[in-house]
Amino acid sequence: MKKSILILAFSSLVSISFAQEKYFTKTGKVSFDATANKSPEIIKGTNKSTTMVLDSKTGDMQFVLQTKGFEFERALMQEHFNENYIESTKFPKAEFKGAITNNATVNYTKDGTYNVTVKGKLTIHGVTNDATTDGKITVKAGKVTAEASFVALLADYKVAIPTVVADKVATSAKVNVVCALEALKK
Amino acid sequence: MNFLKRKSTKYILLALLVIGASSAIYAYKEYNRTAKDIASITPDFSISSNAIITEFVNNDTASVKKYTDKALEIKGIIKTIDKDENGAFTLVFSDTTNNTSVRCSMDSVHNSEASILKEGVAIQVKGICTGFNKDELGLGSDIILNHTCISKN
Repeated sequence: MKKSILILAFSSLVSISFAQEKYFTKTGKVSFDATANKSPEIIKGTNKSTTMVLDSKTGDMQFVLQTKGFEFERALMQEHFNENYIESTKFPKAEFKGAITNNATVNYTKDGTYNVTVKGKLTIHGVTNDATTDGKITVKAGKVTAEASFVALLADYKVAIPTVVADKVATSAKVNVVCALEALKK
Repeated sequence: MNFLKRKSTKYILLALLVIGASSAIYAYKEYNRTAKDIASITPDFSISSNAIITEFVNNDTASVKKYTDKALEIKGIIKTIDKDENGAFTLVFSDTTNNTSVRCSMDSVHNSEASILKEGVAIQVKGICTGFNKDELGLGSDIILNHTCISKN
Protein backbone atom coordinates (compact mmCIF):
# COMPACT_ATOMS: atom_id res chain seq x y z
CA MET A 1 0.00 0.00 0.00
CA LYS A 2 2.75 2.35 1.12
CA LYS A 3 4.72 1.44 -2.00
CA SER A 4 1.74 2.20 -4.29
CA ILE A 5 1.24 5.60 -2.69
CA LEU A 6 4.93 6.37 -3.14
CA ILE A 7 4.83 5.32 -6.81
CA LEU A 8 1.69 7.42 -7.35
CA ALA A 9 3.27 10.43 -5.66
CA PHE A 10 6.45 10.03 -7.75
CA SER A 11 4.44 9.72 -10.99
CA SER A 12 2.51 12.88 -10.13
CA LEU A 13 5.76 14.73 -9.49
CA VAL A 14 7.20 13.57 -12.82
CA SER A 15 4.08 14.60 -14.74
CA ILE A 16 4.05 18.01 -13.00
CA SER A 17 7.72 18.59 -13.89
CA PHE A 18 7.02 17.59 -17.53
CA ALA A 19 4.00 19.89 -17.62
CA GLN A 20 6.13 22.78 -16.41
CA GLU A 21 8.83 22.18 -18.96
CA LYS A 22 9.90 24.93 -21.30
CA TYR A 23 11.15 24.25 -24.81
CA PHE A 24 13.48 26.40 -26.84
CA THR A 25 15.65 26.74 -29.92
CA LYS A 26 18.22 29.18 -31.17
CA THR A 27 18.25 27.75 -34.67
CA GLY A 28 14.61 28.28 -35.63
CA LYS A 29 13.75 28.92 -39.28
CA VAL A 30 11.61 31.81 -40.41
CA SER A 31 11.19 32.31 -44.14
CA PHE A 32 9.03 34.61 -46.19
CA ASP A 33 7.96 34.82 -49.80
CA ALA A 34 6.92 38.22 -51.15
CA THR A 35 6.94 37.31 -54.85
CA ALA A 36 4.31 39.21 -56.81
CA ASN A 37 1.80 37.24 -58.89
CA LYS A 38 3.23 36.22 -62.27
CA SER A 39 6.65 37.68 -61.43
CA PRO A 40 9.50 35.48 -62.68
CA GLU A 41 11.71 36.85 -59.91
CA ILE A 42 11.43 34.98 -56.61
CA ILE A 43 11.58 37.30 -53.58
CA LYS A 44 12.35 34.87 -50.81
CA GLY A 45 14.42 35.20 -47.63
CA THR A 46 15.29 32.75 -44.86
CA ASN A 47 16.50 33.35 -41.32
CA LYS A 48 18.07 30.31 -39.66
CA SER A 49 19.03 31.89 -36.32
CA THR A 50 15.64 32.53 -34.76
CA THR A 51 15.38 32.16 -30.98
CA MET A 52 12.12 30.78 -29.67
CA VAL A 53 10.78 29.77 -26.26
CA LEU A 54 7.58 27.84 -25.63
CA ASP A 55 6.14 27.28 -22.18
CA SER A 56 4.26 24.00 -22.41
CA LYS A 57 2.35 24.69 -19.21
CA THR A 58 0.85 28.06 -20.19
CA GLY A 59 1.21 27.92 -23.99
CA ASP A 60 3.10 31.23 -23.91
CA MET A 61 5.48 31.55 -26.82
CA GLN A 62 7.90 34.14 -28.00
CA PHE A 63 10.34 34.33 -30.85
CA VAL A 64 12.88 36.91 -31.84
CA LEU A 65 15.18 37.23 -34.85
CA GLN A 66 17.72 39.66 -36.24
CA THR A 67 16.41 40.94 -39.59
CA LYS A 68 19.96 41.17 -40.95
CA GLY A 69 20.07 37.40 -40.60
CA PHE A 70 17.73 36.89 -43.58
CA GLU A 71 19.56 35.33 -46.49
CA PHE A 72 18.53 35.72 -50.12
CA GLU A 73 19.55 34.11 -53.36
CA ARG A 74 20.81 37.43 -54.71
CA ALA A 75 22.99 39.85 -52.75
CA LEU A 76 21.25 42.89 -54.26
CA MET A 77 17.88 41.62 -53.01
CA GLN A 78 19.33 41.23 -49.52
CA GLU A 79 20.73 44.78 -49.62
CA HIS A 80 17.40 46.25 -50.76
CA PHE A 81 15.56 44.28 -48.07
CA ASN A 82 17.84 45.57 -45.30
CA GLU A 83 18.37 49.12 -46.53
CA ASN A 84 15.12 50.14 -48.23
CA TYR A 85 12.28 47.95 -47.01
CA ILE A 86 12.89 46.65 -43.48
CA GLU A 87 15.54 49.27 -42.56
CA SER A 88 17.43 46.70 -40.51
CA THR A 89 19.88 49.15 -38.96
CA LYS A 90 17.01 51.21 -37.52
CA PHE A 91 14.80 48.21 -36.68
CA PRO A 92 17.23 45.31 -36.13
CA LYS A 93 14.81 42.72 -34.82
CA ALA A 94 11.41 41.22 -35.50
CA GLU A 95 9.55 39.44 -32.74
CA PHE A 96 6.38 37.69 -31.77
CA LYS A 97 4.94 37.48 -28.26
CA GLY A 98 1.81 35.48 -27.73
CA ALA A 99 0.29 32.20 -26.67
CA ILE A 100 -1.37 29.06 -27.92
CA THR A 101 -5.05 29.64 -27.18
CA ASN A 102 -5.92 25.92 -27.10
CA ASN A 103 -2.79 24.75 -25.28
CA ALA A 104 -4.83 22.37 -23.11
CA THR A 105 -5.41 20.19 -26.19
CA VAL A 106 -1.68 19.58 -26.64
CA ASN A 107 -0.13 16.66 -24.80
CA TYR A 108 3.58 17.44 -24.76
CA THR A 109 4.39 14.02 -23.35
CA LYS A 110 2.58 12.02 -26.04
CA ASP A 111 3.70 11.66 -29.65
CA GLY A 112 1.31 13.24 -32.11
CA THR A 113 0.47 16.28 -34.22
CA TYR A 114 -1.75 18.86 -32.58
CA ASN A 115 -3.51 21.68 -34.42
CA VAL A 116 -3.22 24.92 -32.50
CA THR A 117 -4.24 28.55 -32.75
CA VAL A 118 -1.68 31.15 -31.81
CA LYS A 119 -2.61 34.68 -30.85
CA GLY A 120 -0.29 37.52 -29.97
CA LYS A 121 1.56 40.59 -31.10
CA LEU A 122 3.91 40.62 -34.07
CA THR A 123 6.51 43.36 -34.43
CA ILE A 124 8.16 43.98 -37.79
CA HIS A 125 9.85 47.18 -38.97
CA GLY A 126 9.16 48.75 -35.55
CA VAL A 127 5.38 48.34 -35.96
CA THR A 128 3.40 46.04 -33.64
CA ASN A 129 0.13 44.48 -34.73
CA ASP A 130 -2.21 41.86 -33.32
CA ALA A 131 -1.72 38.54 -35.08
CA THR A 132 -3.66 35.29 -35.01
CA THR A 133 -2.70 32.20 -36.97
CA ASP A 134 -3.25 28.47 -37.12
CA GLY A 135 -0.25 26.25 -36.59
CA LYS A 136 0.71 22.83 -35.40
CA ILE A 137 2.75 21.32 -32.61
CA THR A 138 4.37 17.99 -33.36
CA VAL A 139 5.62 15.84 -30.50
CA LYS A 140 7.94 13.02 -31.46
CA ALA A 141 10.26 11.12 -29.17
CA GLY A 142 10.52 13.99 -26.68
CA LYS A 143 11.19 16.56 -29.40
CA VAL A 144 8.66 19.31 -30.00
CA THR A 145 8.34 21.11 -33.33
CA ALA A 146 6.30 24.28 -33.67
CA GLU A 147 5.14 25.28 -37.15
CA ALA A 148 2.97 28.09 -38.46
CA SER A 149 2.26 29.85 -41.73
CA PHE A 150 0.56 33.18 -42.08
CA VAL A 151 0.27 36.17 -44.37
CA ALA A 152 1.55 39.59 -43.30
CA LEU A 153 0.37 42.65 -45.20
CA LEU A 154 3.42 44.84 -45.79
CA ALA A 155 1.38 48.05 -45.47
CA ASP A 156 0.33 46.99 -41.94
CA TYR A 157 3.99 47.15 -40.98
CA LYS A 158 4.68 50.38 -42.90
CA VAL A 159 6.91 48.61 -45.42
CA ALA A 160 6.65 50.68 -48.58
CA ILE A 161 7.24 49.07 -51.97
CA PRO A 162 8.35 51.53 -54.68
CA THR A 163 6.09 51.50 -57.76
CA VAL A 164 9.09 50.68 -59.96
CA VAL A 165 9.29 47.17 -58.41
CA ALA A 166 5.56 46.73 -57.70
CA ASP A 167 5.33 44.10 -60.44
CA LYS A 168 7.96 41.99 -58.66
CA VAL A 169 7.29 42.50 -54.93
CA ALA A 170 3.87 41.51 -53.58
CA THR A 171 1.88 43.67 -51.17
CA SER A 172 1.93 40.85 -48.65
CA ALA A 173 4.45 38.25 -47.50
CA LYS A 174 3.74 34.58 -46.85
CA VAL A 175 5.62 33.82 -43.65
CA ASN A 176 6.59 30.32 -42.62
CA VAL A 177 7.91 29.43 -39.14
CA VAL A 178 9.51 26.07 -38.30
CA CYS A 179 11.15 25.68 -34.91
CA ALA A 180 12.49 22.31 -33.76
CA LEU A 181 12.55 22.78 -29.99
CA GLU A 182 14.34 21.00 -27.21
CA ALA A 183 13.59 20.86 -23.51
CA LEU A 184 15.15 23.67 -21.53
CA LYS A 185 17.27 22.18 -18.79
CA LYS A 186 17.73 24.37 -15.76
CA MET B 1 33.44 70.33 -92.75
CA ASN B 2 30.71 67.78 -93.40
CA PHE B 3 33.28 65.05 -93.22
CA LEU B 4 34.35 66.24 -89.73
CA LYS B 5 30.73 66.45 -88.60
CA ARG B 6 30.05 62.92 -89.84
CA LYS B 7 33.19 61.68 -88.12
CA SER B 8 32.33 63.24 -84.78
CA THR B 9 28.74 61.89 -84.99
CA LYS B 10 30.24 58.45 -85.55
CA TYR B 11 32.42 58.82 -82.44
CA ILE B 12 29.48 60.02 -80.34
CA LEU B 13 27.38 57.05 -81.47
CA LEU B 14 30.25 54.70 -80.77
CA ALA B 15 30.75 56.20 -77.29
CA LEU B 16 27.01 55.91 -76.58
CA LEU B 17 27.07 52.30 -77.73
CA VAL B 18 30.03 51.51 -75.45
CA ILE B 19 28.37 53.28 -72.50
CA GLY B 20 25.07 51.49 -73.19
CA ALA B 21 26.71 48.08 -73.46
CA SER B 22 28.83 48.64 -70.33
CA SER B 23 25.76 49.76 -68.36
CA ALA B 24 23.81 46.69 -69.52
CA ILE B 25 26.66 44.33 -68.55
CA TYR B 26 27.04 46.09 -65.18
CA ALA B 27 23.28 45.94 -64.50
CA TYR B 28 23.15 42.24 -65.46
CA LYS B 29 26.11 41.38 -63.23
CA GLU B 30 24.80 43.48 -60.34
CA TYR B 31 21.33 41.91 -60.62
CA ASN B 32 22.75 38.38 -60.52
CA ARG B 33 25.40 39.11 -57.89
CA THR B 34 25.45 36.55 -55.08
CA ALA B 35 27.01 36.90 -51.64
CA LYS B 36 30.81 36.69 -51.75
CA ASP B 37 32.36 33.49 -50.49
CA ILE B 38 33.32 34.22 -46.88
CA ALA B 39 36.59 32.32 -47.33
CA SER B 40 37.82 34.99 -49.77
CA ILE B 41 36.86 37.98 -47.60
CA THR B 42 39.52 39.79 -45.56
CA PRO B 43 38.18 40.17 -42.01
CA ASP B 44 37.48 43.66 -40.68
CA PHE B 45 38.26 42.51 -37.14
CA SER B 46 40.22 39.60 -35.72
CA ILE B 47 39.39 39.02 -32.06
CA SER B 48 39.07 36.28 -29.45
CA SER B 49 35.59 35.08 -28.50
CA ASN B 50 36.13 36.12 -24.87
CA ALA B 51 37.26 39.64 -25.86
CA ILE B 52 34.27 40.29 -28.14
CA ILE B 53 31.87 38.90 -25.52
CA THR B 54 33.36 41.28 -22.94
CA GLU B 55 32.91 44.20 -25.37
CA PHE B 56 29.24 43.36 -25.92
CA VAL B 57 28.62 42.82 -22.21
CA ASN B 58 30.21 46.18 -21.35
CA ASN B 59 28.44 48.17 -24.08
CA ASP B 60 26.15 46.31 -26.44
CA THR B 61 24.92 49.46 -28.27
CA ALA B 62 28.44 50.55 -29.25
CA SER B 63 29.43 46.97 -30.08
CA VAL B 64 26.42 46.41 -32.33
CA LYS B 65 27.34 49.59 -34.21
CA LYS B 66 31.00 48.55 -34.44
CA TYR B 67 30.59 44.93 -35.52
CA THR B 68 27.24 44.47 -37.34
CA ASP B 69 27.66 43.81 -41.08
CA LYS B 70 31.41 43.35 -40.59
CA ALA B 71 33.46 40.27 -41.40
CA LEU B 72 34.84 38.93 -38.12
CA GLU B 73 37.55 36.42 -37.45
CA ILE B 74 36.87 34.81 -34.08
CA LYS B 75 39.40 32.76 -32.14
CA GLY B 76 38.18 30.61 -29.29
CA ILE B 77 37.37 27.23 -27.84
CA ILE B 78 34.23 25.56 -29.14
CA LYS B 79 31.78 25.14 -26.30
CA THR B 80 29.06 23.33 -28.23
CA ILE B 81 28.33 22.25 -31.77
CA ASP B 82 24.63 22.41 -32.66
CA LYS B 83 23.35 20.42 -35.61
CA ASP B 84 19.83 21.18 -36.75
CA GLU B 85 17.28 18.84 -38.36
CA ASN B 86 18.66 19.72 -41.83
CA GLY B 87 22.26 18.99 -40.87
CA ALA B 88 23.29 22.66 -40.64
CA PHE B 89 25.96 23.31 -38.00
CA THR B 90 26.23 26.20 -35.55
CA LEU B 91 29.43 26.60 -33.54
CA VAL B 92 29.03 28.18 -30.12
CA PHE B 93 31.75 30.02 -28.20
CA SER B 94 31.08 31.13 -24.62
CA ASP B 95 33.11 32.46 -21.78
CA THR B 96 32.80 31.14 -18.27
CA THR B 97 32.00 34.40 -16.51
CA ASN B 98 28.70 35.42 -18.08
CA ASN B 99 25.71 34.12 -19.96
CA THR B 100 26.74 35.39 -23.38
CA SER B 101 27.86 33.42 -26.43
CA VAL B 102 29.05 33.89 -29.98
CA ARG B 103 26.86 31.72 -32.23
CA CYS B 104 28.34 31.08 -35.66
CA SER B 105 26.03 29.42 -38.18
CA MET B 106 28.02 27.75 -40.92
CA ASP B 107 27.74 28.92 -44.52
CA SER B 108 25.98 26.25 -46.59
CA VAL B 109 29.04 25.95 -48.87
CA HIS B 110 31.35 25.42 -45.88
CA ASN B 111 28.94 23.46 -43.64
CA SER B 112 30.74 20.14 -44.03
CA GLU B 113 33.93 21.69 -42.58
CA ALA B 114 32.21 21.61 -39.18
CA SER B 115 31.42 17.90 -39.28
CA ILE B 116 34.93 16.92 -38.18
CA LEU B 117 35.13 19.42 -35.30
CA LYS B 118 34.98 18.48 -31.64
CA GLU B 119 33.74 20.45 -28.67
CA GLY B 120 36.50 21.87 -26.43
CA VAL B 121 38.89 22.39 -29.33
CA ALA B 122 40.58 25.73 -30.13
CA ILE B 123 39.63 27.07 -33.54
CA GLN B 124 39.50 30.17 -35.70
CA VAL B 125 36.39 30.97 -37.75
CA LYS B 126 35.32 33.76 -40.07
CA GLY B 127 31.76 35.04 -40.53
CA ILE B 128 29.53 38.07 -40.97
CA CYS B 129 28.07 39.60 -37.80
CA THR B 130 24.31 40.07 -38.23
CA GLY B 131 23.53 41.43 -34.77
CA PHE B 132 23.11 40.76 -31.09
CA ASN B 133 20.24 38.94 -29.42
CA LYS B 134 20.10 40.48 -25.96
CA ASP B 135 18.81 38.10 -23.33
CA GLU B 136 15.06 38.70 -23.23
CA LEU B 137 13.92 35.10 -23.08
CA GLY B 138 16.11 33.83 -20.23
CA LEU B 139 18.36 31.91 -22.62
CA GLY B 140 21.43 34.14 -22.47
CA SER B 141 22.61 36.75 -24.97
CA ASP B 142 24.08 35.88 -28.35
CA ILE B 143 26.36 37.60 -30.83
CA ILE B 144 25.22 36.21 -34.17
CA LEU B 145 27.57 35.33 -37.03
CA ASN B 146 26.24 34.07 -40.35
CA HIS B 147 28.00 32.58 -43.39
CA THR B 148 30.74 31.15 -41.18
CA CYS B 149 33.70 29.17 -42.46
CA ILE B 150 36.67 27.65 -40.65
CA SER B 151 39.75 29.83 -41.16
CA LYS B 152 42.15 27.84 -38.98
CA ASN B 153 41.65 24.42 -37.46
